[in-house]
Amino acid sequence: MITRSIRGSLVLAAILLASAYGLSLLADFNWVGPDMPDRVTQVMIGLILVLFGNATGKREKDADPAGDAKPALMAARRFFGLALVLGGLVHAGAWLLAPLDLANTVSMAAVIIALLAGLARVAYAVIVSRETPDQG
Amino acid sequence: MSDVFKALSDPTRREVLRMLKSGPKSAGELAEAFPVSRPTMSAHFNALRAAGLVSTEKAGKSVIYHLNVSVLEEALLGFAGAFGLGSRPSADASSERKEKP
Repeated sequence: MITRSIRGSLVLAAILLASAYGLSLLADFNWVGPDMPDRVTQVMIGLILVLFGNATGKREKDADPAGDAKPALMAARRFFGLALVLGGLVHAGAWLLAPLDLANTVSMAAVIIALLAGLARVAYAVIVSRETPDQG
Repeated sequence: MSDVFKALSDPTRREVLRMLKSGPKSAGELAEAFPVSRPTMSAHFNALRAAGLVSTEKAGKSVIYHLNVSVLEEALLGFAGAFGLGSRPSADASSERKEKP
């Protein structure tokens, strides 16, 4: 069964692929600059990251239907979303404004740092919640 | 989005959201923390629910509230609190204020 969220993700993927292919064609005909397909596609990837990160906290009840998850874990989940949003914004901004070489490095670094920070925060929350089972 | 701004403009509603950061709570638990009548508190809960900032579930006779904010909404909550937006309680809340026993 295809849920609404899977359908949305498939539509986003289709838009991403179609725009990348369309821009490549336009670049082949020299209607847009040679770096435009890369830039537009990467900005879209950054914005998709922002979109998913932003919605992370909105699905708290789905992640914890029984409502018995430790508050620290839910806070870590929200932090992970914030890290994804910031990483995505830097990714999109770098590909929008910076020279290509710099944009590549900065955007990769931003996303990796965001993922590591988010995962570290979640791991910390898991460890703390296991050590203090009665205190959330 | 205007529902979100309206919901975040009231300090009582912002405080409810802050309380929910520490985990889901029943309507009774939340209402006890504020010196306002039940109907006023109910109006606050309705505003939060209409804005999609909280989600609810029934547990027996009580209603359990879950925090349901996006990163952007949480940032707006922080800004609204930092700048004291709507620091005077809204008209609907102030009209029904009562002394806490």
